[in-house]
Amino acid sequence: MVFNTGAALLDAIVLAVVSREQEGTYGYKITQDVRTALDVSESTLYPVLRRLQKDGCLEVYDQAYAGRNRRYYKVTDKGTAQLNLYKTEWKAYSSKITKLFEGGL
Amino acid sequence: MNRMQFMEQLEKLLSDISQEERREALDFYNGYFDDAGEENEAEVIRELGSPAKAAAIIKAGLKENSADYGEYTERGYEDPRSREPSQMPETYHGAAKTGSRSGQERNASWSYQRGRTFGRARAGASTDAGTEKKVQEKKKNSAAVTLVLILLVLFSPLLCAEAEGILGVVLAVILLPFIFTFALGAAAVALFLGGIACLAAAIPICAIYPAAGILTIGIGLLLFAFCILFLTALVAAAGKMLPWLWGKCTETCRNLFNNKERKDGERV
Repeated sequence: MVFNTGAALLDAIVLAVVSREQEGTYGYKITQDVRTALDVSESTLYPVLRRLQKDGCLEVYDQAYAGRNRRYYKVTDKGTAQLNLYKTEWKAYSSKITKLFEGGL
Repeated sequence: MNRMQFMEQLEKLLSDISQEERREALDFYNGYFDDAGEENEAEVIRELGSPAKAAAIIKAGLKENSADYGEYTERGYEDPRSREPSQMPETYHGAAKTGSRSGQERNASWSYQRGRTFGRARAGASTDAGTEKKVQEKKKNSAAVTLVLILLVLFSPLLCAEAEGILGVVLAVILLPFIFTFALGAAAVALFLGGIACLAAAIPICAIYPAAGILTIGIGLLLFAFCILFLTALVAAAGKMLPWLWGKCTETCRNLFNNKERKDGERV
C-alpha cells in the first residue's frame, strides 16, 4: 500500500475485526481477516494483540480445540469504547481528506 | 527452514526478554502454526520472514514508547495542544534569537514542529486520562459559564444603572435565548397548575351548576393542552436551539483563536 498504517489505525482495525466475533476469535483468523483489508506482514499482528491485551482492550481465554489449547481474543468494554473513539476520529479524518481531494471545503 | 527450526531460533533470539513475554510470544506462534495447518507451514514461514525479523518486531512491541506512538495521537487528540500555545517548547524561542538568520530560523521552526509532535505523543500515551481530563475541563468550563451568567443576571440591574443601559441591552440580547427558554418552562408550569386548579374547582361547581362545571373542566383541559404545547417548545428550545447557539459561539471563538495562531506561525 502507498500509505503508511499508523499504530492507532492498526489498533482500530484489529479491534474492529475482533469485535465482529461475539464469542471471540483466535490469532491466525485475526491475521487472515486483517490481511483481507490491509497488506500487513503476519509478524506485525502479534505485538498489536499483545499490547491491546495489556491495555485492557482485549481479554483472552483458552479453549480446547483439536486436542490442544487455542487462545481466543475478545473485546472488553474498554476496547469497545476505544473502538468507538477510533471510528468517530476516522470518520472525521477521512471525510476531511476526501473533501480536500475533491476540491471542496 | 521448517517450523521446528523457526521456533527454536525464535526462542533463542528472544532469550533477552522476560520469561513471561517469551512464553506468550512462543505460544502465539505455535498456535499460529497449528491453526494455519501443516500444508501452509512453508507459506507461513515465508510470510513471517526470518526468525530475526519476527523477534525484532516482538521486541519493538515491548518498548511502548517507540516511534509508533508519535503517530498514535496525531489524528485525534491534538485539540488540547492547539488550545494551549503556552506549551510550545522553549527551544523555539531560544534558538530563534541566537545565531545567523536563515539556517537558524529553519532550525527553529523544525524544533518547533518536533516539539509539537512530541507533545502530542506524550498526550496520547495516556489516551484515557487525556479524554477524561478533557471531559472534566469541559464540565468545569460550562459550570463556570453558568455561574457567570447567573451572577450577571443578579447584578444586571446594578450594572445597567452604572453603564447607562448599554451593557444591559447587550446582556439582554445575549441572554435572550436563555430567558426565552426559561419563560417557556415557567409558562408550562403555570398552565399545568392552572389546569389542576380548574379541575379541582370544577368538582364542587358541577354539583351546583352542571353547565358551569363542565365549562370549567373544559378550560382546565385546554390549559393542559397549552401546557403540553409549551413543553414541546421548551424541549425544542433547550435541546436544539441552545446547543446550536452554543456551537456557533464556540466556533466563532475558535476561529478567532486559530487565526491568531496562524499569524504566529507565519512569523516563524
